[in-house]
Amino acid sequence: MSTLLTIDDLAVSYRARGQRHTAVDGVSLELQRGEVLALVGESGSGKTTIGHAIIGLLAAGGRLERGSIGLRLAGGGLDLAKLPARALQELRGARIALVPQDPGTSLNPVRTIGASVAAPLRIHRWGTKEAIRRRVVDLLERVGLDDPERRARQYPHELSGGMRQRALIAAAVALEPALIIADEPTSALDVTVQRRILDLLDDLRTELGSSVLLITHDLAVAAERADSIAVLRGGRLEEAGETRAVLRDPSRDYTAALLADAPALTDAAPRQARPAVEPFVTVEGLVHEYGKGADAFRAVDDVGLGIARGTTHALVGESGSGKTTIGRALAGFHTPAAGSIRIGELDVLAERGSRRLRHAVQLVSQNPYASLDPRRSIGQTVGEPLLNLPLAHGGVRDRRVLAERVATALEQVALPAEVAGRLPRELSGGQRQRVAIARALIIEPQAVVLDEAVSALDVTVQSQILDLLERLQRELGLTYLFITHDLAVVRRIADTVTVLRGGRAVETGTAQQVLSSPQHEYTRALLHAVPSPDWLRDARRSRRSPHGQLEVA
Amino acid sequence: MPYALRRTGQAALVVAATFVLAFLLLHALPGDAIVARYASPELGLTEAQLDQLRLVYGTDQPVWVQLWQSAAGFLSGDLGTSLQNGAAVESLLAAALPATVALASLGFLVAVLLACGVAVAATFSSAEWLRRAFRSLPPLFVSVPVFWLGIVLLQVFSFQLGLIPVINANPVEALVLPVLTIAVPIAAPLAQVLIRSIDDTVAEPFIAVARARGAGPRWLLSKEVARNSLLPTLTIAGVLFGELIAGAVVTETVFARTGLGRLTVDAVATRDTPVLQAIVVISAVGFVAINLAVDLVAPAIDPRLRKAVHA
Repeated sequence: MSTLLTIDDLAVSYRARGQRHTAVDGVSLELQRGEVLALVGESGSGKTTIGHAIIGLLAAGGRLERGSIGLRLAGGGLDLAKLPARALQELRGARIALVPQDPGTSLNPVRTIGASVAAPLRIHRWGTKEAIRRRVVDLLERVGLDDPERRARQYPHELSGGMRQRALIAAAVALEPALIIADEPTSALDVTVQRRILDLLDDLRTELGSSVLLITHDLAVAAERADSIAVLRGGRLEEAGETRAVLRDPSRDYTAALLADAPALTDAAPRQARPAVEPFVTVEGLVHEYGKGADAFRAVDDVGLGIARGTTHALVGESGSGKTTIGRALAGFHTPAAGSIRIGELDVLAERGSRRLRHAVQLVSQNPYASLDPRRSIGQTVGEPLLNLPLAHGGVRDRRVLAERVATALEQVALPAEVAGRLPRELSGGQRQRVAIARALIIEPQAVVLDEAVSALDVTVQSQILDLLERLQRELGLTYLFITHDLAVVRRIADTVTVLRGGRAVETGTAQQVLSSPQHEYTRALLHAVPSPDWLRDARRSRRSPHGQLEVA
Repeated sequence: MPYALRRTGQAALVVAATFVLAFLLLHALPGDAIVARYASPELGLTEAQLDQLRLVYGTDQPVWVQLWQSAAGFLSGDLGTSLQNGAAVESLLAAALPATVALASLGFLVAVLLACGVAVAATFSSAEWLRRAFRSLPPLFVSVPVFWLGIVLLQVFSFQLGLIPVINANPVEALVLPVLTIAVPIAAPLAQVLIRSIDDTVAEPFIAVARARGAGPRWLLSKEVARNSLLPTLTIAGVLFGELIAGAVVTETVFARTGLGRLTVDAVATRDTPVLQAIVVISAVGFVAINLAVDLVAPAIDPRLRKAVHA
């Protein structure tokens, strides 16, 4: 076993608003030939910056402050930190390749898949035009794309996310690189697709003898795939070592906290199923179609569900399963082709667009960055529903009363009152999601649709938001429809579950039943795809820590 | 292709609406061309004689009848008669159009080349000071008035440097300065949009991915950036066609060239409504045709638009 990559005392800084901020501070790492090293950490930990530094493509304003990046190739050793730009460019794509994060935006939309995969070959003058064409088809076949000749002629928008990531991997391995930097390669993909993509990367690594630097926020992925692991926090290395050794017996509190906060399928106690009562929210025979006539696409096909008052029902499924469509129908945002939806006594479809409906149900959406108006203060945003919905306790016109209500709402979501004067960009992702929840709750709805409300958040923040949602449910008797792709989150928060696939409900029941003894084959496939090695489960069980010890996000 | 058909129908509708609107507006102007042309005391025409002239030109009839007659004439290729000199409007246009088309199309071509050059230099130059310098050019050009630029160019190149003769210039020499004059104010907004759209494209993740494959600046520009940045620019180019017509009016006046611009100026001065009406309609046709062409070409550039076209 020989070392391929040796990073020594690496420091990187970025210039922002005239000041330099240290993004990576004195990190040293080693990656052995043919092995996988996982860089794990939350957003802002510097894991992606390290990847960019290796490949010599720091974002604008970035600068290598000190340290060396040693790469030992067959022809001898190089220090990438000191290599001239031109020489580094020769290495890129040929000896060092990148598998990017988001397959949706990582392919040039106006070039064919074939042209994108051929790019590294053409840039590095690999062979004749005809030879490159044949090689592209071979590569597309190797990464498991059906009908590679046709795929090569297609454009990115004609392929699914998983297929695009396969094409990107094909481009990355085209010149059999010694080092593959995989930057969150599966974060944007469905869990079953994630498994297949990670398997493919493993196969290719073995086949080519390449090393992989796996950048991920997902401890379970790292645990399952990496030989060694490096935990980063705020640009510094917390600890590094052989994966099992680090995760079984973390030497740092931070690693232990990460382990505890990562929601997993293997947590000991799922929510206790409550005795069946009259459902408060009822959906029956829901059908929704996009498009008209022969082109119509049936996104939701005869789905029914019932949610008891004060409980959480999770809608689980992969992209395209119709889960968001159902959530938006429940919140009254579109009229389904058929079916009925009731919240208590309220007929949602008859009340569509009415203020009474807005009082009954509110929506919290996935992206806390996009769902807040960047130009309005938090106080204005949170107070807005009170001004728009005059039914709310006789309407609030008095400024002082409004300010008090906003302060109360912020207090409910554990934000200090002075946040009201700030703008969204001054808050962290977790704080923004708290604001979005406060805005939904200020008019005291009975039901809340949470559409992937924690999916964009780091695990520790995610854990805090889930705690908050549970507390609010207890205190206010809220009924949640919780839309998620993440089965581990389901286990953590849901009482009952519906598993969706292609617009149909394939399985429904209590979270306990569905997750422990799934009846449908698709549910089993979903559960199987979640990365969760047995040894990690044992490690986690023994060090489960109470939540809420970290500072509020 | 129902999409192309639908867009062509919309284009025709725009031209028809322009025709009606222009007609009504010209008609609503206080006084009429008969007064403007013949009511001067030197001619000494009586009110009765003026009425007779109105009868001859048909301006005594209700506006709807006139509109109908004019529309029927346009459809059959009869654009009416100039009130100023009694010539058929179509023959006036036929005389003026070629010079303006040459000026406008050359001006547009130069503008596009200029805009592309400035935009590429502003985004892909290796030195930052160079990028900054080129970035500041378009805002400067935008604020330059056409007439002023024309006069300055004439002063410098013809009178001081004597590079281009003012009198007895051959057709090519005669075009150089007017083309430059008309090109600069069009190149400026075009370059601004192009710079902006190159900036946006360069920030896309797929550019970082291409660089990670070892792509250099030349590859990035020609293979990854160019086509992606072209679409927004193309749309603006269509809109800027209007500028071209306005630019022709000023440029042809400053450089004393014959053409549509000059014809417009003369027609406005003498309130020659039939000529004005024809110019408005012909400009609208050109404008609509260019934008239609842009819309129809767009799917060829961006494959994502093709689906929508066929659906």
